[in-house]
Amino acid sequence: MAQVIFDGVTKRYGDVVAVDDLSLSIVDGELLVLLGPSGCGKTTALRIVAGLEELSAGTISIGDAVVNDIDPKDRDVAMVFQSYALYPHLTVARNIDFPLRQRGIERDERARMVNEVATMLGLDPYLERKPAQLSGGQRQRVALARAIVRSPQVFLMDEPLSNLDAALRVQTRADIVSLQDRLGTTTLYVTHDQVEAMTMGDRIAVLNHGVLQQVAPPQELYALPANVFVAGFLGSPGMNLVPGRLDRSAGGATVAVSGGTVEVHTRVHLPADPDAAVTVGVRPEGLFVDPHGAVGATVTIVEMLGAEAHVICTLADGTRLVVRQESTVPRPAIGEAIKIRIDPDAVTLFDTAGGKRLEERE
Amino acid sequence: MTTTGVAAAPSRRRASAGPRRRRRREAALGYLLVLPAVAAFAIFVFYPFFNNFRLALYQTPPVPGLPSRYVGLHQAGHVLFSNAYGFPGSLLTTIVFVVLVVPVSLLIGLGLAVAAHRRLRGIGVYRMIFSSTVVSSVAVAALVFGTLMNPVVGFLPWLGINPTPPLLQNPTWALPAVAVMTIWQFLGLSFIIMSAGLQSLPDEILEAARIDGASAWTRFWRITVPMLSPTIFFALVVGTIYAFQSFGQIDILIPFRNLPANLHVNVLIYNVVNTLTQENNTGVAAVMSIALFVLTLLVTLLQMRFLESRVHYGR
Ligand SMILES: Nc1ncnc2c1ncn2[C@@H]1O[C@H](COP(=O)(O)OP(=O)(O)O)[C@@H](O)[C@H]1O
Ligand SMILES: [Mg+2]
Repeated sequence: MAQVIFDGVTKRYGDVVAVDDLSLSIVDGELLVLLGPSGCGKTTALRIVAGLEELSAGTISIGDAVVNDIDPKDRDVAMVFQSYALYPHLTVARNIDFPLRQRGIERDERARMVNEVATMLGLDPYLERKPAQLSGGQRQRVALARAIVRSPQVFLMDEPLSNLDAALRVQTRADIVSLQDRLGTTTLYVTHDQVEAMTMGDRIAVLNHGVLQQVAPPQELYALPANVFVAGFLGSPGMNLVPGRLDRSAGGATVAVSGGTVEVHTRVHLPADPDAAVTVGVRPEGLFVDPHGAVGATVTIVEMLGAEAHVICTLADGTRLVVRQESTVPRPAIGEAIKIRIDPDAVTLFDTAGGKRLEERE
Repeated sequence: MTTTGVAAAPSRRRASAGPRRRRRREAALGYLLVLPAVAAFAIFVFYPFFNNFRLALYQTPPVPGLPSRYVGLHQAGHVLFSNAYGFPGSLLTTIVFVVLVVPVSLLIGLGLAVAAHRRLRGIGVYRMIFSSTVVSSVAVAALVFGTLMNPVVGFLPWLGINPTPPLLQNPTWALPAVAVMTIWQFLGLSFIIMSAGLQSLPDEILEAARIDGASAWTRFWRITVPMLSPTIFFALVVGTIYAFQSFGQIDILIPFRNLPANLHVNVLIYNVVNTLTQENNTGVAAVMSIALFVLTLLVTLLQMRFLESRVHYGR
């Protein structure tokens, strides 16, 4: 087991900067989720730890050693590929056995280890099958077994659940978390699915266009997003973001947005400029359809999700808002002009120019 | 829902009559378009192929002008099971030739393909060079190799490789010398086939093996080769057929007129042509060419039967 440290890591492919000056430490024994949209450089970051990509700049360390020039086979990391990358010509048993065999472990010992891991992952009945004869979920478990069997210092997992159906994904998610917890192996887990990230990660590192946006435990990330990208990316649906202009004329502070005004608490560091451009961020649960609301909008879609409903509406300037309601609350009709009330406690303000969240005052 | 279904049904039936007629017209056009190719095949491939079987049943008269005599399978037996026309020797030579050429060219082709299968600057030039032997004509290649091996002005003799009698007239070295040229000639195709196979291997599997601790040697023998087995198998079949049919280079490097009896380069197809053009014996030539055909067919079927069961086609 070991910590993993990215220090100023940059990876370029020609003109494309896949990972841009990434500095990030993964604590020994932690499950850190690398989260971001497709193409943001997650896989590249993972492959850098594995040693499959050379760095353009920076250093990468595993344990106490800088491993920039160490061959993948000597890094003692195990990787679960998105495609699983099982050896198609070998049986399940031989697949799991492969890394052990490379280490020159004695045959009986290997057989014992393979059986132990196979039992742990419920693969006993399939040991003599070829990967092509397995279901997606079984293949995924073989890939996990192959990674676990050698007790590496670090697990690297690249969207291991993305090829599973929804129900199996939820189940496997929990299985991986408890397995990681039991083994205590430092894990870097990549996903584009924010629900997966929220439910699995000890901490989440959000990446966009190769640039690290924020690293924090799931709840902190949700409550205190560092910028508009993180705010919009986390949550399903993400935080509503409404551009507006600060108005301090009435002593307190309000933000003029298209179709009304939003009251804000003044405990944040407001910009010096009295009518600065700011972005109002509110989670869907902080919005209410209310005749006494201060912002006018038009309903475009109402989505019923069982326990809750999403009322999707647009402001006069076309900005989209999502209101989350209990399903017991009466729902407006499509096309209806409604008023929206915004809970001032739920408002997060962002500086429109830089996209950064305005910090609370002490 | 139901009403639209009922309304849609007849119109769909009406609509389908048109496409069917159009499809028939398209088919007619298709047949028309392949007709020239079929005709050419019929004249230059099918007719000679079947006529060969007829020719094999007739004995060519010793003096031109006399009528051919029908002898049935008698002539075939005589050719195949006696030494009268050098058939058994030719058969052995052919087999030795195939064994000399095929494994080596597959192995080198695979080696080059693995070497060129890297994202390196300028690797494209190497790929082009390796595959270029495909587009060089046998005649040109044979002339180049003939010159290289020429006992007076050749490069190999200059290097000190100059046995007596000279390479191409040397009972020990003539066949291997021709085999070397044939290997060179087939190398391009072997390289291209192997490269195509490698391209289709998912990089991630080899990367997984690297992370799992496998050395380059282990990755090659335990991952690349087994996963490439369908490709290697295909190259084996193609290469065997290619070697069976090698003629031009032998003909150019070692002309019939200086063919000493102990120079074991008399592969089947060479023997066929020799019998036909030097001895004008159509009947015997037909028998031997059918034998070559059957041999090629058998070897291909055997390879399919025995090797394919060991080939891995899974994903
Ligand atoms: N081998 C490569 N050559 C060129 N560009 C690449 C290569 N691998 C990744 N990229 C680019 O780097 C960026 C990040 O890719 P990747 O790490 O795969 O993203 P993610 O895993 O987050 O979807 C993308 O823009 C991608 O096109
Ligand atoms: Mg990826």
